[in-house]
Amino acid sequence: MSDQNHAPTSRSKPPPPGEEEAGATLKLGEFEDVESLTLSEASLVINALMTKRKKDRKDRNETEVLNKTLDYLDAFARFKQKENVEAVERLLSGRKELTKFERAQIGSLCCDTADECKTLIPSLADKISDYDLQELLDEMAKLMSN
Amino acid sequence: MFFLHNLERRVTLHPSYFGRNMHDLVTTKLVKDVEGTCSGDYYIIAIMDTFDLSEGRILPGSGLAEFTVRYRAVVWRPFKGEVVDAIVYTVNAHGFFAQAGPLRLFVSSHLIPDEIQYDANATPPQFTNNADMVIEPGTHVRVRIIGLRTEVGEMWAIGSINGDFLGCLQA
Repeated sequence: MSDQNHAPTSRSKPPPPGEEEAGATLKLGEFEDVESLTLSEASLVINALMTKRKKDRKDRNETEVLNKTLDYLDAFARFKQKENVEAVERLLSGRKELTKFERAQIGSLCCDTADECKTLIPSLADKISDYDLQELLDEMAKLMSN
Repeated sequence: MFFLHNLERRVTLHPSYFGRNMHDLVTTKLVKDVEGTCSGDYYIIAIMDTFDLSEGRILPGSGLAEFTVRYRAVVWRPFKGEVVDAIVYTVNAHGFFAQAGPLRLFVSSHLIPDEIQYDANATPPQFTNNADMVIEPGTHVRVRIIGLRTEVGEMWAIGSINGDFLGCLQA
């Protein structure tokens, strides 16, 4: 009787919330290695998706969340042209010393100086030199809506 | 922060739908059920595609077929300590409310630098440092997320503009 395999009588504890943060060290929980998108990339992806749905004459399912997100991305996406977004993506993915999250943050916030960038993204502090970061930001600035 | 996340969900289909387009119907039902919702940690903005539709399993007793679908979606997951851009929509004496996509942020007056004060007499009421920074409905601001609260279906955040390079965005 005691060596039958019973199903567990209690469910396993969910992972403790509230530990994820993006401070000086990145603790992203389940999003640790997930592909992150800059605001411009997200705008491109979502708009392409909506165009495809419209073309297939499927319901675009415009939820309130989607509309709010589209308005937000229209206001804040810095790189409007597809070629520029792809160029920025190539620039950023060349930086293997940074995590995906940090690369997406750099691409979204578009700071002017390396100091500003390191202040806004504290986890960058030791990962890249100010000189390299400034070079990266200058390259990106050239691609911004020209 | 936007992510392209792989997620999984169980979708049920009523027997009256069994037929030729089952996969399309399951995908449509998935999209209707999941898009635009907040799972507690993140908002699912849009589903890109499904890549692993299991075989349907009939649930004993109800006759519904259950499919386990794996799909890729654009999700919006705010993190504590992350810096985001937002648009102000309400200003009052205790602080201001801003919106970053689907997320509502509140920046309390305690987390606003001292030189920026509330001006109730201006039209519209605003926070201003009487020089170049004015925070009123419609202003774009850069906010650091200090805390997050989740409730079923919605998330709220507390933010701060008390820091270098935070606050009003020029242009």
